[in-house]
Amino acid sequence: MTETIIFYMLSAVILLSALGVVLLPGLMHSALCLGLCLAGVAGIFASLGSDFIFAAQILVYVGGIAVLILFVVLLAANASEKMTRQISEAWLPSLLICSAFFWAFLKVTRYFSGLSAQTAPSPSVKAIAALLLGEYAVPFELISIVLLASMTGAVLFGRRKAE
Amino acid sequence: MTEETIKPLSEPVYNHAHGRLLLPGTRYWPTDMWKSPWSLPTYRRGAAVLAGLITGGAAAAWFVGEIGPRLAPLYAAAEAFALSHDIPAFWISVVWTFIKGAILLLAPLVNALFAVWWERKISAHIQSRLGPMYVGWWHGALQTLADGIKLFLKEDIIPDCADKLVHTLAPIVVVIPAIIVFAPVPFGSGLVFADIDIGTVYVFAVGGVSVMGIIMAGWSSGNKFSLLGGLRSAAQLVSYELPRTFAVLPVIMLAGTLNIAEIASSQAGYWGGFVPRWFIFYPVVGQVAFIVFLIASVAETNRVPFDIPEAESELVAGFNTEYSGMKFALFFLSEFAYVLLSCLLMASFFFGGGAAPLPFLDFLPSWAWFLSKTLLLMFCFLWFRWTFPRFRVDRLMDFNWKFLLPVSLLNIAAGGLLIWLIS
Amino acid sequence: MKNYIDFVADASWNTLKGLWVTLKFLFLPSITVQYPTEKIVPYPRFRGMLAYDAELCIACGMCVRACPSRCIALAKAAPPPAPPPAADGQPAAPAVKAGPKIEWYTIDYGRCNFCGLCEESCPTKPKAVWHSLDYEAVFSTREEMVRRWKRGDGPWGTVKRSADAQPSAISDQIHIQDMPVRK
Repeated sequence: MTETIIFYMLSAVILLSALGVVLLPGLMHSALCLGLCLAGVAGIFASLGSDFIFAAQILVYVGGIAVLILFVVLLAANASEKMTRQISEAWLPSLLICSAFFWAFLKVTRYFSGLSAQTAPSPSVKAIAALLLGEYAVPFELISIVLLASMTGAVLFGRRKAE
Repeated sequence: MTEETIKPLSEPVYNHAHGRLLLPGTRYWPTDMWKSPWSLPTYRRGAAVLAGLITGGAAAAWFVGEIGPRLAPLYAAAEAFALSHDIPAFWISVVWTFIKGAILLLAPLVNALFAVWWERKISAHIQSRLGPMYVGWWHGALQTLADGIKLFLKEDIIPDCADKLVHTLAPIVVVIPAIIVFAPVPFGSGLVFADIDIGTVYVFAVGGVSVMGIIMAGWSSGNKFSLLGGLRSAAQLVSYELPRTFAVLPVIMLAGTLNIAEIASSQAGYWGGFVPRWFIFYPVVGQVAFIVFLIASVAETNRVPFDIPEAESELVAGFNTEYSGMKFALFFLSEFAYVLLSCLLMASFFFGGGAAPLPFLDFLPSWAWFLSKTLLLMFCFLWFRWTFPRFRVDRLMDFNWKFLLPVSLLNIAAGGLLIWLIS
Repeated sequence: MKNYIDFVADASWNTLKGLWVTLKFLFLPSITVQYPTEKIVPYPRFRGMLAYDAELCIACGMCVRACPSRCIALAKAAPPPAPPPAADGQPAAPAVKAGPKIEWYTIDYGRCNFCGLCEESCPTKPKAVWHSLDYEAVFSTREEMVRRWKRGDGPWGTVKRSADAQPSAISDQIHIQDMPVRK
């Protein structure tokens, strides 16, 4: 019973902050709501018992990506002060299209749902590590090469042009 | 300046401005008293007081450690009493969790009280002065309490062009992770609030959430200097998280687990009967890891020499310029909570948290050894503050990316080599 | 690469030296004098507040002329009346002993700049006006800053309390050290 309450509370946080990301007029507020939304998703992971993914989600998404987005918003000129209306004129057609997509997603995900929340985390670090470095070692290395390429690209693009 | 050191007056004197009787110990200080401090009776008395305090503290710790296990039947009796009155076991565990949570909440608060006083005393003595002496019975012991009450009663000012909601939420977003981060950290053997398997990752993850709060604080204050201070601080914090995490990896590799309490207990035992098996004693790898972790922790907590974002003379105190009263107290509290966290982590990872340095010294309970190691490391933090000048912000980044990060990565490789050589 | 390692080694060694210096100072005694309960006795030639002895003063006025701030004023006492001439057959009346030669003497401490010229120019031995070692010259009103000595007053004189009140003697005026030996 407590698992259900926790699931609904976390879902409320996620949905409301996701709505805040798209509906709030200020860019900074949207970025902060995104951080809250990702933290809520981490809470869902914790309630499903996967402890490592919970910590990794907070470490990477909230502590890394949300901070990165905040940096970009603050360093771009005047981006943090613009307040624009977020609801466009053609809101009814877009609402209908989104509902159609949502119904399609619901049909697909209902096949996989049914996991119950757990009260104690099931230790998963060793299992994940064995998988990553054993069975899925090649994709792991490929991901690290992609990250290296993106870091090098960022440094290259961020450099001042050689005079 | 004469040769004799102290010349007290023989009769009491009156102060005609105050009309009060003064102490007869009027004295003057020859400047070469530093050459022979032991000749001063006040110095000898101070050293005796310090030795007495340490011995008394150890005796008190031993005493409390002896009566601790004798209280366990009380808890079992209370639990049996509750069970016999048809309270489901679930509610008993909830109540127990709340009690443990309340004790855990006290940890950063009590630490702030003590650490601020200790920092003021140590910084004063390093600068040849005395520090708080007046408030409280002994050497200004209640000074922090008085300062806390003062901050509590100050007016809460929010600037006009500030974003009010974000301005109010920012200290909360900084302080709450600073309190919940103590959950998986052991305070002694078996004294953990949440004995989770991913303790280390949890600690570093939750520590990263405070960075968002600092950016919020910098932006919502509504002035450019706070914004710059907030951004600089966030850049510094995010950069120094990397060597900090990488420095811990060899420790995790050697211990084989991410659970902090298990890392601490895997350092039990002695080599040759008298050298403790602490990770700091492992050749090269342990020492380099400790030094990198120490430096990165000092940077993570915004302490000198890395306190560009919040120093008084830089950017008018940076992101906490526009905060007054209780909100400023919350930022301050979170800084000291993170200092305590870093010291507890260092004691667990590198100094065998709870293990006595020599086999015959284990009459002191594990939490007393943990506490003394933590206090020693906190002393290092305070010591660094008054020794080093402040880093310039670009040199700060250089230091991280060009020295700490490569060294910590090489250390991981060296750790792997060490494990291969040992096995 | 060698530069890098040399730089790191040099920086580490200097860091450790700095830490050692700070640690040494941690264990040296503090030089704070906790003021109201502990006071420093200055060196013997310290020029503190002026003190004056009415019995020794010969009312020569050298201090008045030497003072650059014109803070001293004095008035000579009238000489004692001459004894009546001896009548025939009567023995001569004994001469009246001369008392202090000063009628009154004031120092305005608001103007005194503690230069010591009055003390230097005083011809008596020991000096009638001298700098004591007192540095706690605290006054609440301007009137208090002017001290006046008449016959029989102590070294710190009397002060006017208000425009119409009688000046009262400050009898418990002891300063932070004994009277030092006057030169």
